[in-house]
Amino acid sequence: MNQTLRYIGKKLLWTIPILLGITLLAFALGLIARGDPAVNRASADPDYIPTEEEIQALREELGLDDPVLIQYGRWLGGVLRGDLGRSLIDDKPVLDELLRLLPNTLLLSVLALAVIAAAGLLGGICLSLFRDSFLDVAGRVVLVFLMSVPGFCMAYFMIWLFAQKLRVLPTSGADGPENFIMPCLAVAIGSACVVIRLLRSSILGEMGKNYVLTAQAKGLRRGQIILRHVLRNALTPSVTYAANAFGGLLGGSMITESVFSIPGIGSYALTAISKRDYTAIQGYVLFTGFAFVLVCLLADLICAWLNPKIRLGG
Amino acid sequence: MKKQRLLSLLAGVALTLSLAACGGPAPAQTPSADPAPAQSAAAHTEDDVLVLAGARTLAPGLEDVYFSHKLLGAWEPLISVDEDGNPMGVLAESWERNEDATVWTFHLRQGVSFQNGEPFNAGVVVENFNRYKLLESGYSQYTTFKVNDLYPGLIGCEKVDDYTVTVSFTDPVPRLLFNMKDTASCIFYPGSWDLETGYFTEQPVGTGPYMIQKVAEDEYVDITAFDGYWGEPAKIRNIRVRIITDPQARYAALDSEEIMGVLDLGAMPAALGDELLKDQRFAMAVHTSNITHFMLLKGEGTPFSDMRLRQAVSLAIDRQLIVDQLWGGYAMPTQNLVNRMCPDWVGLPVEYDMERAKELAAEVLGDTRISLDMYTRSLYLDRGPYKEMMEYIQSQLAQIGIDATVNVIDSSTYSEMSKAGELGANFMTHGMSNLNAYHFMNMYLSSTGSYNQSQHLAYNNPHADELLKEMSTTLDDARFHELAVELQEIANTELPVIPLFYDTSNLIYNQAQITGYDTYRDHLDLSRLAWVDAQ
Repeated sequence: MNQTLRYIGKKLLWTIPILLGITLLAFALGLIARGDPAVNRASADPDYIPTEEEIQALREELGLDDPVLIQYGRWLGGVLRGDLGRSLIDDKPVLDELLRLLPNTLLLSVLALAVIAAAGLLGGICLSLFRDSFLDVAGRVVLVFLMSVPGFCMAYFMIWLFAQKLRVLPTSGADGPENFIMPCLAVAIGSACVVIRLLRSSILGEMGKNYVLTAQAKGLRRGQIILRHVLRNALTPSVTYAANAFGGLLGGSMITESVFSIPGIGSYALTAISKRDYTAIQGYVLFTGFAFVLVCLLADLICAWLNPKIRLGG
Repeated sequence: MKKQRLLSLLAGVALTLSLAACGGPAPAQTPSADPAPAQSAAAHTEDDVLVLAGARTLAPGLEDVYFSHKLLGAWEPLISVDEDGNPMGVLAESWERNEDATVWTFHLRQGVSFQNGEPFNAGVVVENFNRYKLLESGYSQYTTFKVNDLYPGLIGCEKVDDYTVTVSFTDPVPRLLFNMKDTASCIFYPGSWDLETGYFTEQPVGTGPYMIQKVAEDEYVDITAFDGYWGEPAKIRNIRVRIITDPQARYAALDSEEIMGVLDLGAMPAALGDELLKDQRFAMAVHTSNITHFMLLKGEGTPFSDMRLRQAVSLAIDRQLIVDQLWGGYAMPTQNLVNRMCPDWVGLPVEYDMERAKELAAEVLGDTRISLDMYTRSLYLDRGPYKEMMEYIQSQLAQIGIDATVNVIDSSTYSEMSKAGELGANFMTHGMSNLNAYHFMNMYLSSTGSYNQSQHLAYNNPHADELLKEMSTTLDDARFHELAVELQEIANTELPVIPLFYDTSNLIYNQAQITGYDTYRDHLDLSRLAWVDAQ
């Protein structure tokens, strides 16, 4: 227990330099990219060309004329006080905006993770049970096909099928749980296919080991052996992969959110990037970086629980 | 082994059944080519919510100086324009000015109430003018409120009696009514804005036919008819305007009857609109728009400072072909800088002559070929086939010795490149928001015009400068029109910019379910929409 706590503490301490590094990198990349937030803010109305004086006044107001390190330091000081700053474009507090949009992204991510886990477990076990049968071969072909279909194609296909033709689901929006079914499937299908394949090969890899032979010699059926003995050992790579996918989803699925008009942090980041809204980008990077570190930590703990031979280390 | 086979079989059957279930839509829900079945549903009642959709928010909120788009009908202006582009009173019933147009008197509409029940009167207008004075560069994603441009030399607004105000200026403002169109004279009930900045601190209250009931940020806005509206009451009580950012999703939402119509800019790309129109449930309301599509050539330090080369480029473009092939015929080719909605607009010839274009280009370039980097902003790709249009122009320019590249860039990069004068050619739209011919032509034709300078056009014609100077001060409407016509002719010949075509507003709606989309004035009037089968 102490070892686990030490590991968690160490990991959390490590997140500090990691987050500092990624926010600094994001800040630097924002500055390297062409574009000026002051110009963008002054040009919100596309038919209006702001004067040089207006832009300069805005730059001063937003503190964009200060040296880069001072700007970064100012932002960092705010973060330490729990303030992620205000958007350079619409002046809204970044933290409030992220918290407003988080429930949609979180719901989408959790539902997608549930689909990935359920489909992954069911599919992986099923395919390994019927190894080299027609179901296994056909299933693997379908998995490769589904993995190759880009998420946005899947999204448009589902809109056509379920909204236009069958009219059983809404095309877009975030009004109710039914709005999240198609987006969730669009983001989950690819990852679920990977998990199915990973789990299948892990299970089959384990099946050749001595403890399985022993179990077979004791007269246990194939299904019992997989469920009682093999699965726990075979899950580690799938858990690691699913955790990575979940971490990515927490950062928002920009294309899916955009196609299904779901206001989430992915679309927020997309807008911030296109408008060079450094403060919003920084807030987003900090938030998703932290979420990713937490999810990876959780995955490590789950893996260690599944397989105690895995030693938690630095 | 038997069990395995059985399980395989069962799984196969399940898969087949699922696919079969997905494949065949229920007959009752199949979109029909005939509008009649759609009407066969129970008649709509007053409480039914009409759902429409657009690509962007129509209620940006406190950060925007108008809080909501005029389309929603939550607020009204003092002045708007009629179908001919002439000033039309909304909350102002009539007006007059003194001899030198430095003092304007407005007689206000009586019997108007705000949505909070408070009366509209002169005191309210004075407060609103005090607010305007604070908005030197009022932020809006629709139209920036620049008090010094809209009300140059504004001294102030004074109450004469309960329903009369005077607005005074240091210098003559003969075309004030055009400047005051819509957003520039928006009226809100006082108390909802900061007295130092003019920005709203709470949701403002207007006098329009609809009240904003709920704003779900980035999702939708709900509006409800205002019972105390002074004009014709709204026909549909509750409307929800959704934001569906993806055009394909808007198309699907219309087709599945999740929404009944689309509205606002870039509501439906022409190709998708044509697809929907194959189904008789749908119709398209096509209306003129104040937006013109332009190609701007950088003249500063380039051969395009030579008028002949600009003329060659213009002559090499078959605008009719662009309109017919790429914009589905829903636009009007033009070579005129001024939009056709402007009352001072004059019809001028649009020429396409490749042979003459080659001659003019050869006069300037000789045997040399030049390169030209053409740019547009990625946001335009959602509004129409911009890239395809640029590629067509690229192929035409190659015939007159100009090797052009086509580049699509994001708005931030665009702004910076534009500022630095790095855009060889720039494809963009420009809306003539207040229909004041002087205001618009001054931006491009004046040697110090804002677009002339910011876009590095390097256009300089002292005669045009003189005409513009006279235009800015003349109090004679007939003379103003003469000057406007002469300047349009100059622009049509010298082409400081290359106009391509006038846009139209193409709104697709479900004609089997709703009416009123075609009773369109300057913009879609939501209060005119009605259910086909209203009880």
